[in-house]
Amino acid sequence: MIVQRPTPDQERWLRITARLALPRLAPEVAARTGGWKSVSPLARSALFVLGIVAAALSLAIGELLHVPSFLVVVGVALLAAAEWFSAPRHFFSCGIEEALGLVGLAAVAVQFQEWIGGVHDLGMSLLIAAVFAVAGIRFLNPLFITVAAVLLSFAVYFSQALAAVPASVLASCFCFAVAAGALLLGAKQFRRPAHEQMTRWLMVTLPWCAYLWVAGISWSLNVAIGVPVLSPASAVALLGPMTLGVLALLAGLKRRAHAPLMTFMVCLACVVIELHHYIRLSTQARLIAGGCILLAVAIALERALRTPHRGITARRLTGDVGVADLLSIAGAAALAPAAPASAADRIRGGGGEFGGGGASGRY
Amino acid sequence: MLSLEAEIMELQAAGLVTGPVAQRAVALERGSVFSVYEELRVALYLAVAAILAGLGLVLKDHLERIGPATLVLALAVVAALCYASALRTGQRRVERSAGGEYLLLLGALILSADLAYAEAQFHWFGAQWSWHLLVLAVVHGATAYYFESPLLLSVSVASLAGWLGVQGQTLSLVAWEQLLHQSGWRALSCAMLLLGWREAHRRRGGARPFLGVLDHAACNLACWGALAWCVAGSTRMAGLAVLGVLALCAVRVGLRRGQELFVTYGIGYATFGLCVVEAQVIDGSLATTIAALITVVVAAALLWRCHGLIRAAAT
Repeated sequence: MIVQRPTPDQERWLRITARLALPRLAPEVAARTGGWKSVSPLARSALFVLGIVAAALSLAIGELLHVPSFLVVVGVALLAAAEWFSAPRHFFSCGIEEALGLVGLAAVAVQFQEWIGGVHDLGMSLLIAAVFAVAGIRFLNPLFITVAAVLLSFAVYFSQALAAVPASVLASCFCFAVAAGALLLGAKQFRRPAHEQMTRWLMVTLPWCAYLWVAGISWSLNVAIGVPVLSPASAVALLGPMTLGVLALLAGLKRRAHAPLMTFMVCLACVVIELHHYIRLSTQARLIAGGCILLAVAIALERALRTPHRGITARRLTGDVGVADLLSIAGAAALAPAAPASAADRIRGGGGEFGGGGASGRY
Repeated sequence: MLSLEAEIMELQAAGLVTGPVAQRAVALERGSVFSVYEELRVALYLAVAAILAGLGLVLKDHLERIGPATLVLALAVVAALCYASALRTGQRRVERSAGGEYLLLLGALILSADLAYAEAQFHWFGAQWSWHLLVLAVVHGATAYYFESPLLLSVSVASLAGWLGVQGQTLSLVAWEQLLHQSGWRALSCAMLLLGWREAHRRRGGARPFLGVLDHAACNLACWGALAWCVAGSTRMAGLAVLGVLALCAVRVGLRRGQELFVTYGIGYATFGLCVVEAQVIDGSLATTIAALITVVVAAALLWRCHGLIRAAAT
C-alpha cells in the first residue's frame, strides 16, 4: 500500500503558504504544494472535534444495529474514510481525516485485543500507544505522537522493569529522557515541518508528565516522615526538571526557539511546586511571594529587552490581534470575581463565608 | 530546527512576496530577530494569578488576626499603587508595556477582591449585595477607557455578567428547568446590553480592540443563553430558533470580517444545540444517533466550506 501524503518539499510550501497568507490557488503556489490542502489551527481543532464525535456516533450506530464485530467493520470504514480524505481529496493536517483515522485504528485494535482474549495493563497501554504512534506517523500529527509517548510511560510503569527502582520513578525517568531527547533532536535541521513540531510537543509536554509521575510519591513520603528527605522520587522530582530546565533555557537562547523556552517555563513551574517541601512557608505566602518575584522578573526582563539585545526583544513583532490575545483577554475575565450561584445560596445566617450573609466573624 | 529561508527567497524571486515582507520573514527564520513577548505575557499572567490566589487565601484565613478594616485598607493601598504605575506611564506619554498592562490588571483584580470582601463584611449594599458587581463593572469600564486597556474591559464585562447573575448558572447546562430558563434570559439580556455598548462604542469611534472584546463576549453569552433554553424542555424550540438566528449572524459576521472564530462559534454552538434537541424529541436511540451523526457531518462540511470562503477572500 502506498501511503499518500505530501512530500517534505510540498509540506514546507504548505507551511510557508499559511505563514505568509499566500493565495493557495495561485499557479506558482499550487504547483509547489502539489494540490494538498491544509487549514488554520483553529479550523483543524474544530474539524478534529467534529471528526471524533462523528466517528464515535458511527461506532454507536454499529453497536445499535448489532453488526457482528462492529468495531472492526466500523473501524475499517472509518479508516477508509480517512484515507479517502487523504488520498483523492488531498487533505493534510485538516483535523477530520486525523480524527477518523485515529478512532478507526483504535476500534480495530480494541476488537483485536478482545479476540485474543483481553490483555492486561501493560499490553493495553502498549496497544493504545501503538495505535497513537501509527496514527501519528501516518498523519504526521504531533499530538498523537505525544500521547503515544505518554502512554509508553504507562507501559514502563506497568512493566516494573527494574525491581530496585520504584515503577513511577522509572516512568518519570523515561519521560525526562524522551523530553531531553526531543530537546537534543531539536537542534537538527528538519526537512519536514511536522517532524520539527513533534519534537516541540514532546519537549514541552513530557516534563509535566515526568513530574506528575513522581510528584505524588515525593509528597506522600515527605508528609509521612515530616522532614524533607531526598528519596529517589523526590530527587527525580527536583533534579529532573532543574537539569532539563537549565538545558532548555540555554538551547532556547542559542537556537532562538520558543519551544525550549516554554520547556524551561514548564520545568521552572515543576521546581517551584516541588520546592514547597523544602521551604517552610504558608501556601498564601508562597503564592504571593512567588507571584511578586515572577512579576518583578518579567517586568525587569521586559524593560531590559525593550531595546533588542543580540536580536532578542520583548516587543511583539506583529500588530495583528491573534488567538493569543483573545486567550489573554479571556484569561483576565476568568480571574474576575464571580457572583455566587444564587441569592438563596448566599444568605446563610451565621455562616460567615465569603459572600455569605452571616456575621459570625469567622471567615 | 526548521528553516524556510530557501522557500522565502524563491517566493521573493517569483514576485509573490515583496522585498520588505521577505526580509522580515528571513530575519525571523534566521533568528536575527526573536521576540519573547508571548513568553513574558504567560509569565505575567501566571504571576497575577498566583498573587490573587494568595490574596484570596489571606482574606479567607487571616481575618481575625488582621481585622477586616485593616485588610480592606491594605488591599486598597496595593491596588492604588498598581493604578499609580499606569497613571505615571500615561503622564509620560509612553506606550504601556505588557508588564504595565498586567500590573494594571492586578490592581483592578485586587480592587475587585477588596470591594467584594468589604461588601461581604460590612454589607454596604444590604439586600442588594450584587450591586457591588455593577459598581465594579462601571469602575473597571471607566478605567478601561481611561487607560485604553482591553484586559480591564474584559474584567468589566465579567463583573457586569456577574451582576446580571450569568456566571456560574448559565455556564452550567445541568440545572433545573426553571433555573435554565432564567439563566437563558439573563445571558441573552447581558449579550444585548453588550451589543448596545459595542454599538455606542463604534459610533463614537472608540478603540478597535474593545470592539473585539465586546463582540466575543456578546456572541458567547448569547449562544450560551440560547443553549440553556435548548436544554430546558419547555423552551427548547424557542431556544433552537434563537440559536439558529444567532449562529447565522455569527457565521455571517465571521465571513464578512474574515474571522474564522465567529464561524466556529456559530457552527459549534448550533451543532451542539441541535444535537441536544434531537436527543430530546426523537424517539429511539438509533434514530437519535443517526440524526446526530447527520448533524455533525453537515456541520463539518459547513465549517470546511466557510474556511474555504474566508481563505479565498483573504487572498
